[in-house]
Amino acid sequence: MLNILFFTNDPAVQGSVEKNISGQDRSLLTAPTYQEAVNILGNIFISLMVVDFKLSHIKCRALLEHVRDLYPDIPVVTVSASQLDKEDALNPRSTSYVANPFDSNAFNQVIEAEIQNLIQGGTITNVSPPLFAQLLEMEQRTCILRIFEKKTKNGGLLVFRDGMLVDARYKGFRAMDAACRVLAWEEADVFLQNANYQETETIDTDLKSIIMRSVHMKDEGHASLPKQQSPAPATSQPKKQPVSKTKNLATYLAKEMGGRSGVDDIYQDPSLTGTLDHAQSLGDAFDLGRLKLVYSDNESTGANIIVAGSQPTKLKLNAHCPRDRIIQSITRY
Amino acid sequence: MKDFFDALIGLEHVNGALILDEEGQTVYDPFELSRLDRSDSTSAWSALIRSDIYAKEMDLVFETGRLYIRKIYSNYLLVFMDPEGSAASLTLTCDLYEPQLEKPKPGKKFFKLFF
Repeated sequence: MLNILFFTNDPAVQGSVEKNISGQDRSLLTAPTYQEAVNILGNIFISLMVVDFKLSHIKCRALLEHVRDLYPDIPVVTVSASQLDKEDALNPRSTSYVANPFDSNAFNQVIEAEIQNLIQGGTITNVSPPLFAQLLEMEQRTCILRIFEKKTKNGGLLVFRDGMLVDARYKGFRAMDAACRVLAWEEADVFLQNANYQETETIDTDLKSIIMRSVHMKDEGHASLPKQQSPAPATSQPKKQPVSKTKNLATYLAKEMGGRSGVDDIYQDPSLTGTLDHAQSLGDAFDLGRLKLVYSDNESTGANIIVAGSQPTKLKLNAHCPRDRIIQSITRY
Repeated sequence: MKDFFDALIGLEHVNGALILDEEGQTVYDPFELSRLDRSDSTSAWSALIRSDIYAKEMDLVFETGRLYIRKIYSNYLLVFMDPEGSAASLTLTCDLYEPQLEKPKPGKKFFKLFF
């Protein structure tokens, strides 16, 4: 739901706009005073703002400054009567202009154009914000995401520049604090705008670390974030065989990955031979050559790697294990 | 489904993908890759996915390629990659598209996208 804030005290204009703008995916909020506008901006996720210059010019300019400083992503449409007002309004922040006397058709076209601009990158429903953010990072996208959590309908903002998360906004939070909260959402709808605003980067932490922090915040129940259920404990423990050749592999991985292999345990497990034979048969059907290893990720027991050989070697991995890197390292072993 | 497979094949080092059922029968194979036409290979497939090590997803690394297997509803996605392919981008792509795939109805083999 895109919220549009209208700073006006003209009931006729307000009624005309409300009739035409409010709809399935947008909502109009009005504020007749500067303070009310500031309060709404601080508590509700606003995507577009309209300022009626029939109100006090000082208040209008102050509101434009306020939006420029704290909400640089919000485009502002100004409604004004004179050329002087227009110049005043267009400096420093507003993006569009509708001349008085008020023409509701012309005004609605401007608003519609602004809304289309906000969502010109597409709308994606039911996505996981952290996963989608990682995809944008991989694709090195420059864009603004307006994200709406499915459960609460709360809105938040993430800004990417060349795949880097550089800014975020959520209620009264900005930058890192906001990003952690938005990235903790499980399911959301996303409006994508292929744009950027020229602000100094406010986040200088990599996305993976922010996502990890958001998971910790969620686990600890910070900021009313729901607690995540811990995974079910493993129901059975495999029989461990004495370690011999595995020492060499453990030493190799420690050296290769600089102590950040993410391997919690390593041991030989002959009971896996039959399963690896099945995997090899599957590889043979597709002419993939000799099986080197099998990676599997089980929600209850965690991730494992089984290295093929006369005595299969099992590695139990923790959540910090860099999957692709350890697979590449083992295949070179 | 087409969008999903287009996204998969668009990933670097991904060479193809198909969907099989539990018995190794082809459900969706736009690239005509399935070679599980022998009884020994279909039985190996069934045994593998029913084994203790099978989880939501699995990555088999061979000398000349990688085979990524992921359970999607009651069927299994197989993605063929070069050995240097990235499982991370593949997993992310699947995570992104999987919620949009409709659960197959009894008697129907194909998924379809909501949009």
